[in-house]
Amino acid sequence: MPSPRTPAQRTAGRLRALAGRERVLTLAGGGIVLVVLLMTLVLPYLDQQRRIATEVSQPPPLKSVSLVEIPGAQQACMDELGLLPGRQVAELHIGTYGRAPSPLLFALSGPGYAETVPVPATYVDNGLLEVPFNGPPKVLEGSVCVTNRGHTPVALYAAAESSKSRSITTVEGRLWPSNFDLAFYAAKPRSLLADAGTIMRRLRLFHAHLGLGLLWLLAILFAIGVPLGAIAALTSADTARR
Amino acid sequence: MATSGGAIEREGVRPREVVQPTLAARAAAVLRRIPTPLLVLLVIGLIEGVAWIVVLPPLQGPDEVSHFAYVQKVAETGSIPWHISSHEPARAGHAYSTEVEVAGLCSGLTGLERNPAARAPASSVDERVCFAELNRLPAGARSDGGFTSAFKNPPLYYLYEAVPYLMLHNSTFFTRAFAMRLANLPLMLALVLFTWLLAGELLLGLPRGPALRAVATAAVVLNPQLMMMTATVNPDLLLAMLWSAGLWLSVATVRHGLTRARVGWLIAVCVLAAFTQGRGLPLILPAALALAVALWRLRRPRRRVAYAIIAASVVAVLVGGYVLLHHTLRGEVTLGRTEGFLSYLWQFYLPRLGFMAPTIHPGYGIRQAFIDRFLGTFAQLEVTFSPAALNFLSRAAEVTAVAAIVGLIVHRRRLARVPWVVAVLAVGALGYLLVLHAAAYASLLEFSGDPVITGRYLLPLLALYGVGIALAFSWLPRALSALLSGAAVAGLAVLQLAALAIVLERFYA
Repeated sequence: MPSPRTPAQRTAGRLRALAGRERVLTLAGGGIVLVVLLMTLVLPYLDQQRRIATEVSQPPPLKSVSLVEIPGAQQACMDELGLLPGRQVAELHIGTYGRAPSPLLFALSGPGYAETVPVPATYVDNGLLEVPFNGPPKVLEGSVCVTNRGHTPVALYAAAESSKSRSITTVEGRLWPSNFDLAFYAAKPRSLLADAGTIMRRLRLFHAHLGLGLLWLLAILFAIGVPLGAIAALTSADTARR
Repeated sequence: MATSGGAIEREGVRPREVVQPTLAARAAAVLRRIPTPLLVLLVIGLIEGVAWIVVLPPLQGPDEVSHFAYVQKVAETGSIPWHISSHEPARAGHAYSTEVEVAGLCSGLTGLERNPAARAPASSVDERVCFAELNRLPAGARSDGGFTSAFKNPPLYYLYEAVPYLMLHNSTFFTRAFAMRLANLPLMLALVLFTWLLAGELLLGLPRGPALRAVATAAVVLNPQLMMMTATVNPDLLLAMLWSAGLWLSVATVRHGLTRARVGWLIAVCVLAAFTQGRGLPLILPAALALAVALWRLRRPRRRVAYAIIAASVVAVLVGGYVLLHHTLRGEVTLGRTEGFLSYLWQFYLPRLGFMAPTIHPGYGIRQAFIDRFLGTFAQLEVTFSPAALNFLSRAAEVTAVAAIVGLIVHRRRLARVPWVVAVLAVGALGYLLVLHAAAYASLLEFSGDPVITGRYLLPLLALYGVGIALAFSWLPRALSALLSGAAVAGLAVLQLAALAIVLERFYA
């Protein structure tokens, strides 16, 4: 026959039951909010199809716009670019001084690789010019040239200020003080989740000491371990004594 | 040996060679002594800190390149370029060393600064070209930097960061920059620990005290601004850590009295804060008050001496206030300018009253600084949450603030029993904010553009932010408190995930 419980034991039992109930409630409150926010906000955000920039060789300037002027039948080139494999779209910003646009030739080249894409004279003045291309079979250092195949000049929007990249721009072989804006986008929209592998590889650039496995582990710990750990810390505190 | 050893063992003590624990055993013993919630939160902080360090590209934290340049100057030249004058030196030269300039250009990091259209390096070509250029640099390319605005800061943080810089002196620029960020991790973890200790002093006496302490610490460890600053070479993190330590030591001194260790550490923390950043100076206010209260209790002075001390304190406060006002108004202490400053202060927090002139910097107040910048702005101010998300955060913060005030009212009897603890914390928080506003107003008078007060400047009060959030749940029925505090911590965890996600998108997508 069990011995009757003392008042102290009964109080301790009640406190344990109370703490247990609070732990469950903390877990429930945290769990519900976590699931709801992850399902309604975070996952849709990560899974949203978006235009992904594979490389921005020359971003637009922050303050003052410069121009790379290409007279008729002349060519502007920018070197030291990273050319990535896969179908992409090159984006430039172009002006025609209010005149009719000229046909252009967009050319990419690198060791063992050359691709040219004719651009019909259908683009608009001061608009974005989008040029789809197939890309090299592997990552290459190369250059991009834009040839004006018409008779009237065109101008590529460019940067000469602090946002100017390391590349060098020439027009018909002569040095030009600014680099034209140039960005490459994936041909089709992708989500951040679908692009996670590429992002992981980009995170390793300049940090070869970071292993890919380590980065994936960190990503999992951050995405799953942090929210679950925070709630776990709270629930363990619910049962903790002073 | 056998005889004496046996005698010792009979006394319950084993011979030295047997009891000497290994390093691992000692570490395990230390870890076992850390409360489980704190240990879990420290591990969470570590994961978050490393994640932010990896994701935020080098030099993209607030003013990071300037602070890197300071560390480089210290490490490469063995000198301390602390420039106390507010004016730049006449022959400042290039701000950054050749190495910083070349690394920033060849990797694209300079073009990335504040430019939302730019992206982080994307291919191995960037690496190859950049390393080739850096390898061609002549001797002295690391030490030829001139003057940057960071040189106006005291040197403590930069001396600390010079250690990892020098340890990896033969490594690339990028590895050194990465290691310097990693050196921030212990500072962040210490800040979390001091929050835990302060929250313990303030919250353990309340119902669900241990859980509230965990809520306060979790709110701090899940704060995205803190993690971004952990991923940035910038003295603000060290300053925030020292403020948290100083506030905890001040409260502990008031509550438990003077000990040599407490006094020594409190003075040391104040000195360290003063040598970290100018915004460390106001920490002297709560520390001095705490020491005075504890000393008063220990040795209550005679009435005449007491009056003399009170009179001297009043004079000191008045003189200090005048000096601050003189600085704030840039040397022209007139009634009109003083009114302008008071009007700016009012309008920063509250709507303009009919008789007030428009503030010196309209459109920038408590919402912009305490919500948009503190909770929702990252990198070099170009990464922000959407307006809808910021509005939601603002509403949530308002509800939490009101609930925390209700908590203070509900617990007023408990507070009345510790008036000096309340006074020390109030003096610390208000003193710090007043100094911030003074610096901001002085800057606005001169440049009329930079509102100065930004999110990271609020980090010194981060421990109080955590305690405030915990207070919001302290007066609710226990079951509801448990449910809602769990929900709040989950919400803060999602805020942390979302913040890193928008940073990831800005730089890599």
